[in-house]
Amino acid sequence: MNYFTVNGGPAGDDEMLASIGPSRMPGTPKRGGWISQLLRTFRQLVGGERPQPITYNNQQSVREMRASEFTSLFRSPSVAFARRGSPPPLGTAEIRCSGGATSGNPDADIDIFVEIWLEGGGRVGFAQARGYTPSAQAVASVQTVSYDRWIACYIYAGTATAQATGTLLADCGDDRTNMREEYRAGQVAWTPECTDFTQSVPTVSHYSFDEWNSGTYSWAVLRDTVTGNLYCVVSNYGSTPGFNSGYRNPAHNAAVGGAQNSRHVYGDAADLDTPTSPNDALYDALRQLAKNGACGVACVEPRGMSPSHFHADYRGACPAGW
Amino acid sequence: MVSAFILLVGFSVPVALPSQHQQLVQRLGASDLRTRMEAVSDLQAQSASDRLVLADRTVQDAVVSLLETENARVAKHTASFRKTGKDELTEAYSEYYAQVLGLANNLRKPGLLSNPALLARLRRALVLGVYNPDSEFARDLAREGEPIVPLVLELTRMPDGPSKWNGYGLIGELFAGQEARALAVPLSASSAASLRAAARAGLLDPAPDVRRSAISAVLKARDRAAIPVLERLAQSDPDVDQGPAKYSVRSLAAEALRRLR
Repeated sequence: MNYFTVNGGPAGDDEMLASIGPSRMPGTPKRGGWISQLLRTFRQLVGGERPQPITYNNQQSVREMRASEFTSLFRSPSVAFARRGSPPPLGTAEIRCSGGATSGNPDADIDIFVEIWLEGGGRVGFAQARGYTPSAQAVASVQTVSYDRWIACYIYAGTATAQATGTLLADCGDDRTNMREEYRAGQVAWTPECTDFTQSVPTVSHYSFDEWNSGTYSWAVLRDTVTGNLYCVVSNYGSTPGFNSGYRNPAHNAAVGGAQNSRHVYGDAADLDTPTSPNDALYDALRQLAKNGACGVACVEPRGMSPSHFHADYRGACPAGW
Repeated sequence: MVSAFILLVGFSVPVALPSQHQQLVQRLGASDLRTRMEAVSDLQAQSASDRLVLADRTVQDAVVSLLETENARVAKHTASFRKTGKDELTEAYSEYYAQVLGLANNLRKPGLLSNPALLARLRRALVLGVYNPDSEFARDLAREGEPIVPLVLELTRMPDGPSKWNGYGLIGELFAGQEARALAVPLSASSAASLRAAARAGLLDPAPDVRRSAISAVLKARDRAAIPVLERLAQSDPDVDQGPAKYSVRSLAAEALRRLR
């Protein structure tokens, strides 16, 4: 699942849970009768008592947090942390942390602060709520932020005990959620949004969606740079070579020996069949048509590397010799 | 007297300075492909921030050796593919090879590599490497000029089409560079004659893709001696266009004739 929770102990490699102790934040005034309120105000004025500022005494630790330090940190009183498991995630994500608090003191209100901290990104989300005994809720969320290593969901809950839950990746409501998780788990440098997936070819094409989609799901990422330019190449060539491979979801890509950041998982690559030696002529024609600018400028894998097929992609800056 | 003794000892006992990059060099030469792949990624990252790493002689030697190793691996695979039809080089390997080629090509930057023997090995490994004839890499490599002529001629005599494409592609780029005065070492008259003769021979190659690349080479070489053969190709070559694109031997020969006359 694509979520983490913060409320107890470890729950698998991708989840880390945190316990909440007594508050380090000054408790809110006891709700009492007008006499006690008056006395409290009098003490503040005469005795110099002032509401203390909220101090986030673990902010530094968020940046320095590593797995070995995590245990001591998540036992910090009144602060909850969450992180994705090892290896740490890189890239962008949508994050939602919600904090719920239950007061252990029937006479105290509950102030709850929920914050999202990213290593390398500082505090990116914040929410505050004041509730009454016995519970309060606050939600902080961030839409698509870049993060370097660790994500901390960070809660102050006054004198209460608290728990937080967070969501890392948006739920697309179907297989696309699992596909997005494959990008994260496979450490692909890019994770598509739900809306980046399609179930049809975005341009006119000589090949069907089922041919373009070489993955194991009914969804694919297909960029019009590859579908449109390849249509141009094949049309100019004058006959239609067999289709070998288009979009691949990361798990399938790994299974067929694709590179970790293969252009096939980015949806801007295609392989056409140019199977045997006499077809060097076919490969040569396709290469020239794909690279001469009339149909865009593709990166084409050299023939020596792909004697059985023609690979073209539209990444922009091509590898040396392509 | 003392200083003469020190001088004598200094010259007679060469001090082998340990490379600062010994571990990296060992990994680049590892027999395990994954180790080599990781080492190449590390070296690429390191050289982006510290250009001096490629000035280290042991690193230079390791990079050239690595490209030679990978070239041999690809050649072996190509030979095996011709027999079995099984394509066993993965996409990951292909991307890795391009990284190696790019790193080795970086050694050609002025002032980086001074050892003549290593430079000769580097040129050979680059010219006989795996690349597209119309890539930026090939255009840049042709700027070497005269020193790579024997290697280019060797490419045109190889049995496989892709090597010949690269050979004729480089011939075209050498003449284009000569005309633009962009070659590091200009072509000698005899080399230019040899290259033109090789390109003309390519016009008679049985493979249409090779004839196409040879047509491009004779055109860039402005070789009017090729006109009779081009006329024949333009009229009766079996390779004709299949669609709107004019890329067939007949079309290319006709276009070359128009520009040479």
